[in-house]
Amino acid sequence: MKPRELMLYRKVTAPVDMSQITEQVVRNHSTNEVENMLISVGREFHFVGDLFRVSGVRSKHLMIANSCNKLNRIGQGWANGFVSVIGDAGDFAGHSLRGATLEVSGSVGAYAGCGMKGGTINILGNAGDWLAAPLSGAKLGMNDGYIFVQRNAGSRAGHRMRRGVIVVNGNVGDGACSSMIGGTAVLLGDSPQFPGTHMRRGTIVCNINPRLAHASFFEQETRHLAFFSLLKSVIVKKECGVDLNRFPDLPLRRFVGDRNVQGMGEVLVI
Amino acid sequence: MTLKINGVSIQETFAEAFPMQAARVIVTAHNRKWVSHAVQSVTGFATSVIACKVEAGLERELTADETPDRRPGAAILFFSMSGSQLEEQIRDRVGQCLLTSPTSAVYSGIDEGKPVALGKALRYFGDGFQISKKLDNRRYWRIPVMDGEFVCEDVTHRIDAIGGGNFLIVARDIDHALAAAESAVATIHDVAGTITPFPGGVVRSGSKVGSKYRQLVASTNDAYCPTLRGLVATNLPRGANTVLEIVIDGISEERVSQAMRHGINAACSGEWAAGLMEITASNFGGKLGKFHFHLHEVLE
Repeated sequence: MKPRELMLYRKVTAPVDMSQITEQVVRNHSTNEVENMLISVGREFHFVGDLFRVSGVRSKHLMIANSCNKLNRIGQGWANGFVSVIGDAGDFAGHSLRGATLEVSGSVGAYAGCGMKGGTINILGNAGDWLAAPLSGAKLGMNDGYIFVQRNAGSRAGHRMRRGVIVVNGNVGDGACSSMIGGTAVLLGDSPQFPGTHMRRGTIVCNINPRLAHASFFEQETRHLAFFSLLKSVIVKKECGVDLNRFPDLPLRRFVGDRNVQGMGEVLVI
Repeated sequence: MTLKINGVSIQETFAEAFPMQAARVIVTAHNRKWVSHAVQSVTGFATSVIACKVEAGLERELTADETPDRRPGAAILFFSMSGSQLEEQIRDRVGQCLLTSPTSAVYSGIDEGKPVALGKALRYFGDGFQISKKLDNRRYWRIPVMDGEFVCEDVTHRIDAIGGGNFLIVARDIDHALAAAESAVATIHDVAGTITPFPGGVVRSGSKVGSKYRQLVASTNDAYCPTLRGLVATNLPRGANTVLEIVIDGISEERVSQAMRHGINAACSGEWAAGLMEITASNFGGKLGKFHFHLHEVLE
């Protein structure tokens, strides 16, 4: 049985709000009903059928084919099921995701995984700025779940992150994990610039010495951590395409901080 | 009906077992030596609920590939008569024996049932410096200790289980009895979900219910004591001079039955079988325990 598929067949220049394609719609509505739904495109409303060819059957699986970076809020609030995006996704991908899996074959815009409360986002391309960060005005960023980025992420990834795990296989922009409150960020690219500034708790794992604000991070001696072995095994089991097994269980360098804000977060260098 | 294995008579009787609560805990450490130290410590003084309040034992050793943190480890089973008693014992034993054991980490071994606090209770030892990590809907606590940190899962779980599956090895002498018992225990050790909580898996002081002394709930099983033959009604056949009991706790009726079957077969299958007179079982007339393991049925 072919899952519900929305194939974008028109070029869109204004942002399309995909949050109205909820899991209830995908699971319960017929092809006609989906085509006749209204979604906002910029300042206007259009029928889904004006932009997408809808096919497949009622399903927990939504596939968005021929997607582009104007499709915002894909997978917003999904608690179950699987959303696969062939192509790029716009801003707020996986916004407030609660348990579903979102896989994007291309890149995503800003604020991917913001307000996320569970589930998994797997981005095979790049992620924009503010990955897993809070929305403007919100206090907390990502609150649970997993985000895997196979390539690079923009600046402020993991800002005010509260819980959950993000893994970026490539580089991250400046200010990664700033004001982090909890959770775990694994940054496997080139040396991040000043990660964890003003972090209070949480764990940042880097594979190259990050450029830290040394005055506010205290370096401890290297040590083995059972937690890192545990984290590695959990991430490897996810089969997310990030091979953490290439990092042997050697002693880690550990920095604690940010002492400027009496933080007890940690930066582990593997 | 007479049933014999390798010439050893299997009595037509049953083992009487009781409902218990069980929990599994996985402990890991830097190397096998320290896993052993941790296991030995946490399962110490845990032979019988009568005085120890809990029965505990090594279920099996785990390879690094089988543990959550990819270090060598072991699965330990705890059994107790009530959930609250089990929770209390696990909290105290993990706190005093595993938290203290160098390089150890503790994880849940059962994912269903009612929660039993592990790190949830012990995290306060971190005095505010403990770190909580939630991975895959499981919460772990990282408690700073003098060798680095103690990683402990928030909770394990307890499930309904069975304690007191048993069989008695009646032998001419101690050498044959010990050889048969050791072989049986080694075989039972391979049955997942079971433990034999007594020293080396073997009990020499089987008990009956009650005593001439009012303060005792149990006393020596005089019908199987060779030195009381002639003084009390004995269940020992002529020529029997030693009886050893294997007690089995398991997480299900099926596992206990399987362990008894393997254990009895192993006890009767060796050169020592020539010195065995019979295999029987301990029961209280069927009035105390709701699980009855009839030896002939178990061996079918």
